[in-house]
Amino acid sequence: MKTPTIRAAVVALLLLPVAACAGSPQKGGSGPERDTLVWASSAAPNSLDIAHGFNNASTTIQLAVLDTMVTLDAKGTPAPALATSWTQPTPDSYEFTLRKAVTFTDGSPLTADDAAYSLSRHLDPAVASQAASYFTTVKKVEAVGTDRVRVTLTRPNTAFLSVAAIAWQVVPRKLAEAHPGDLGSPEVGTIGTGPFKVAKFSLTSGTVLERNESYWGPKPALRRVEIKAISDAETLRMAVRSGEVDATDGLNARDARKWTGLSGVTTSFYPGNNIAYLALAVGNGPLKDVHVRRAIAHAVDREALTTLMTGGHGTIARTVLPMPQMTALYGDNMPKFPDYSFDLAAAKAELAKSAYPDGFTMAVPYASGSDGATVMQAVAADLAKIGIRLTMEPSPGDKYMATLMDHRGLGVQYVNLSYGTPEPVEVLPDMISRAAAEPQGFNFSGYGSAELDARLDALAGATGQERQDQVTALLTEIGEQVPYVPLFHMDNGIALRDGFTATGLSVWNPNFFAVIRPAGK
Amino acid sequence: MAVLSLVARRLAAALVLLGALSVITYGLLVASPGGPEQVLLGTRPSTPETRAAIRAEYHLDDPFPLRYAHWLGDAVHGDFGVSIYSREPVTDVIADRLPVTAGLAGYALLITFAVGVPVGLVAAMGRGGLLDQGITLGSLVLLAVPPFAMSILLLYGFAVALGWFPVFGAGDTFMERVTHLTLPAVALAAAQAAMVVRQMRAAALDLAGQDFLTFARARGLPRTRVWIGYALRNAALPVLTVGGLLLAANLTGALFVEQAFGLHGLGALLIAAVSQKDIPVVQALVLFGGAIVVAVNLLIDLAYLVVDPRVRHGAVAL
Repeated sequence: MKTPTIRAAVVALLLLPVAACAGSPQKGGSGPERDTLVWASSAAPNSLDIAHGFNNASTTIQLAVLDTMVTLDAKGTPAPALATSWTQPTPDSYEFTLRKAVTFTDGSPLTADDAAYSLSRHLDPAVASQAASYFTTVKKVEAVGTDRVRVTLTRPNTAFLSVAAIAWQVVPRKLAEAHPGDLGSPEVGTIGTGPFKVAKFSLTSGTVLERNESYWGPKPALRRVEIKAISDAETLRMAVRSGEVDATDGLNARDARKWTGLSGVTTSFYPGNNIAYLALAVGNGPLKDVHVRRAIAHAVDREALTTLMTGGHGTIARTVLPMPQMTALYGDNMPKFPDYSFDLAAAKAELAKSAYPDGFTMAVPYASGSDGATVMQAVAADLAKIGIRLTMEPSPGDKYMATLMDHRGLGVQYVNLSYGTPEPVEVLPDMISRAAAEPQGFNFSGYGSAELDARLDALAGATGQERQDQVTALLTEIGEQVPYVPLFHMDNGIALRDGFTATGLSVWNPNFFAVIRPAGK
Repeated sequence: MAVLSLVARRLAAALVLLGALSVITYGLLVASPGGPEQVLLGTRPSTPETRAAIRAEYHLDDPFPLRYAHWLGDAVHGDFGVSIYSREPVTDVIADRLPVTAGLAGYALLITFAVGVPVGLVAAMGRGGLLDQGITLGSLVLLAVPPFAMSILLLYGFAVALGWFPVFGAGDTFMERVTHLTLPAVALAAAQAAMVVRQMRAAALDLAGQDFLTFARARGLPRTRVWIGYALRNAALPVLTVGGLLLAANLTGALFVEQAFGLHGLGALLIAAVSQKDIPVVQALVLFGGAIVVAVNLLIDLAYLVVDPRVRHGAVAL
């Protein structure tokens, strides 16, 4: 009597799922409709407007839906997009000629007024744009006639075109004006002129893009893109492995090994526009001494750290600029910068020249469970060998971030930042300007002076060889004074299931949905 | 009348409880380091003008009582504000995610009872036997496996190796929803069913020696009638209590399971909102969670009245 009851219960439990399973074919994978791509990101996009969603998951979708006035070519040089051409009447102004007969996906024609407003809105405090710091040199934006837009800057800025290529997304003025604070939210959505249009945008159930059949440019090979967010790295990997997801950019270089072994999945890596470094707070006790800072630079085993953190998909950093920026600026003629090889004897010799020949003890806060925790553990072990004892002080990620951005208790900090443009002026003010040494700025070393600020200002307007020389001089000074110890550059990667290919993927063209195509098409 | 006064007293107590909850939550969020600026500014350099605009818009420079009063004033009018992270009305954010979490919680509870009650009864019926020992051991093992480990095991086994179930997401149609939620519901229900098995077994054993059961058997009533009509009904009270608490817990705290199965439910939302200092969302979620616990407890008490006439006659004593 007992056994049948148990058996019935077990069978019922087993049948329930099987019965449920019968009606639903697996999605994605090997269906006949190969022009639909299921894409997964590791974070949900929060806004389809760069003013409020300047993060990878969000800009990936923005790039597919919204056009910018100019774009970057494979080398990182500004190239035409919605503007077919531009002139620079004076060093501090630009005049763009708008592409003709372009319409938004709601059918309304694109006007010069739309384009002008799309830039000037980033300067409006009511919009509180995350891209505002990109456009601090913009004084005035105006439509000239029906097809031209004139931008006047407060002073010459060679980076203007590059930052415009990232953040000057063109949206209808009517829509943007009506929604200063919530354009791009799931309720309001957005309208663009780009290769895709938004069919659905939900933070919960995902985003669906459909090809814009009246797109002015080359038609994308994908007809439909379904975008999901899977925050758990292992679940994401299993979703790709099972074929439910066709492609993702949610793979971390450090975990590349877990992905490269998956059958039916191709991974490709390309240099990311990022730089990981240690910031040494030059105002804090022993770190005031340049010999201490040089000793630290010599004592950190960057090669081991690079291997540990990038799993072979990254390179050792020699300067504080991201690798793609170095390549865009110098090409093959990279100058030689002061470098500190891993050399404990040299480290000890430097320390002997300082006021702390026997080392010292310093408290180091870090975010527990983060990449920073791993890096700081390794750095602490390296520095212990020359007598510098770091007392590790873990705290939760958000708490650490808040104290860091308040510039409280700065000492030796691990920082890893990503940038958008090929312009060194996007990075260097973050590193060595006095404005960025204030709370909410990114100059965690506190290194800076009026003279350096003047040189940064001069660099903003410099072009050609002059610009190259000025960057070289600044990087050399950073190398000699060591407010930062550059650590490594990490590659970006995407994983694609068989049946899809991606060609022409580069750091300056992360427009995944235009680049990915069904195999054979 | 007694029932009405019970309900009225409970609702009054609930209001006080929710008020206290909202003050404490708001206070803790304000006191913790950092603010919503990080979310609003992103990990990019910002301009002083933008930062000032944000501080003004969210009243970040006002003293705590004033900020709380702002929030409370809107909340009593049913306006819970706009999410700082997604810029959607908070009620929409929650309404968007509630079906996933409610579906998961309900499904898990269904499995918990469908498995837990009969298996517990079976164990009690065969007390001390091999089957009973097996069931006891099995439930101990299930209780010991944390839900996230169970999730990963299930994912590997049934979603990746066998391919019977999808790996992530919640599906769109009803059938898809059932398929998508089966593994998470099993992961969530495993430990809970084990708990109900233990509870049910203990309750049924308590009853086994009672005179009315012996008498019922002596009257020659069929075995099913004895166990279901007499034993099950009498064992229902403690099991109902546990069930209610499990439902409340599932609705508010299925975080690890939601995370592992890529479900965008309320648990995942709460964690994200806390780390983003998305105060309007956290406040609404905490109040919602409090309201669920109060409501479920009230429903359990009312269910007592239905199930047990003894309670019904002494209802005032509740």
